[in-house]
Amino acid sequence: MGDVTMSVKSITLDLLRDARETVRTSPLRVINTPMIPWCQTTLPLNIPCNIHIKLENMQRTGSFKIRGVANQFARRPKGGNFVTMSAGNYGKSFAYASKHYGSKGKVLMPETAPISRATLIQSFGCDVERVPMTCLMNVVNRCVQESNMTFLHPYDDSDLIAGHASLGFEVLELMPQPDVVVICCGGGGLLAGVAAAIKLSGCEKTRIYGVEPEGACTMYKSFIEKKPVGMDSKSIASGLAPPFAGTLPYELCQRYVQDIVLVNDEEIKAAVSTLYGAGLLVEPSGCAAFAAIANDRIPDIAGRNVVVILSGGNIGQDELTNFLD
Amino acid sequence: MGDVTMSVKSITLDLLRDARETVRTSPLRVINTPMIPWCQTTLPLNIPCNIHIKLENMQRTGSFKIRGVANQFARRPKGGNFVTMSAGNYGKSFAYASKHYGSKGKVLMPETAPISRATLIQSFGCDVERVPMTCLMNVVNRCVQESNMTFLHPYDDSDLIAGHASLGFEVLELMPQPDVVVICCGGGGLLAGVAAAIKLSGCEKTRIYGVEPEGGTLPYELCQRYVQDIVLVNDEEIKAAVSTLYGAGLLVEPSGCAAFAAIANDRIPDIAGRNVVVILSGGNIGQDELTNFLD
Repeated sequence: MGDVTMSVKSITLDLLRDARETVRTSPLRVINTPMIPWCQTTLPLNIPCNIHIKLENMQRTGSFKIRGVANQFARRPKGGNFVTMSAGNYGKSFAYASKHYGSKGKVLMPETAPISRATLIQSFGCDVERVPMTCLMNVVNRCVQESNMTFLHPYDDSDLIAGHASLGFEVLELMPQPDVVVICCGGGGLLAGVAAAIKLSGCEKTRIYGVEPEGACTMYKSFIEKKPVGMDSKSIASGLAPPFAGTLPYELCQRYVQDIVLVNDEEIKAAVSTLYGAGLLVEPSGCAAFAAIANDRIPDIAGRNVVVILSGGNIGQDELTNFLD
Repeated sequence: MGDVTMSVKSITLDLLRDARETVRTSPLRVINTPMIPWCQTTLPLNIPCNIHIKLENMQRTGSFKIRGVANQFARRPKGGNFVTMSAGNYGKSFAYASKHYGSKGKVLMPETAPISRATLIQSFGCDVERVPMTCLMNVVNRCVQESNMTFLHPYDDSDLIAGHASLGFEVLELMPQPDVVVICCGGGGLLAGVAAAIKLSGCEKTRIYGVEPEGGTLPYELCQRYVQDIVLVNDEEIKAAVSTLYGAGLLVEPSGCAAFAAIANDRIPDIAGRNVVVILSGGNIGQDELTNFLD
């Protein structure tokens, strides 16, 4: 617990600004993604407000994860031998970075992850081991102890969170005083980083909301129980369904996030379809914040300056066809 | 020939501004689409320049056609009985407008058009007749003469071209002095309208390029006057462009990619260090078609 408190205090504005510069100049070529006015899309809007959409689905590797990965890899020795666990976007960014930095990498994936994900990660030169979800951390520990690998956590890592925070600064460049910012929440790394960046920048009045699926609401439950908790997470938004809220993300969110709201799988499914109809390719996990706005889960937005983040666009053709039915 | 020259002279800045206002306030809810910096995408760029992308693929009905349609319908009597010919995006916009305005509409489609297109247009309440490509104009004439229908041309129409010109004004709002503007060219309606808007607004130095797939044709009085050159891209380059844009998170149909393909394949001269705008004109690509393109 002491470690965590120290970690929260170590997330200072200077640290985040450093990380932002690291991300901006990263050899992984992270981009400053477009932020467009909602009114310049054909998306329906129930409540008139000055709302913008951050198109992080257009980010390199298809999601925001590369921001955190860029900072993680930049701050570790070259020629490392890294291990991580992920079925999804973190694994993809990790593999991309490993290839670029020429480091050895191993990704542990739950057996439930699609084979295509394993193949993709292998194509970057990383080893993949598929294990039952409950065994993931055990295998991580074995890799660390027996093979001298360094564990890179996919969301509970201060370098990662600091890297994700770069997105928050980009929002503030275009909208210096947002009233409301809405962000998807899985392990909580993006939410924690962006919220910290915005609040530490002095935006006292900004209300930041995290959005989780009803069936995978670890941060929501953590807020209620006042400690990071886990659950048997289930959602079509697999990227938002890790079994535990991250410890550092939880502490940062407690400090900087207004509230966690929930959306259900049907609403996420409809959101994928609606966004696609407007010309935006967004994966289920990436749609949660939009779904929260579309389903009036965010209070007091009428006439406000609002930002919604579409966090990723990595959805396979087959999956997309299912969603568009 | 005299008629065409008069039409060209009638395309004045005032006319285009009027049309722009009509489009902007249209009940069809045409949107001012986003224009984003190329450097805010993961699209590769060979030649450093200040280049922006107009995301008309995000337009209502999935392409720019609704701009011209909005002006065409606004300037005709209500309760009309219209006929047109189109296999694609014009037909979709026409059908959408017919439904909204409560006018009767008939779309003649070439037999080669996918059934799904016909079904879509019918779902808006329009009649569809599928005819051999070579018979399209004959059937149009028959509808006009025998059924008293009014023909709306899908690209060779001054109201339509004036409506499309609204896109050009939107570009100038964000980039008042572009050096280069690159636009897809099919029938030439978009190219003509946007080029006229930009040139009549006083952008003497702006070079406007139209991009066609190799082997296309176009009516070109306006383009002759305002367009620098027409460049060509081939089907392989278009296919690769669909895939590249999709990889960057942008859903763009093959026709909509031509201008991007021209930039990506270095067909546009003298862009280094210039202010450039590329228009992605439409995003209506079916799932099956997209899968083929992404192989």
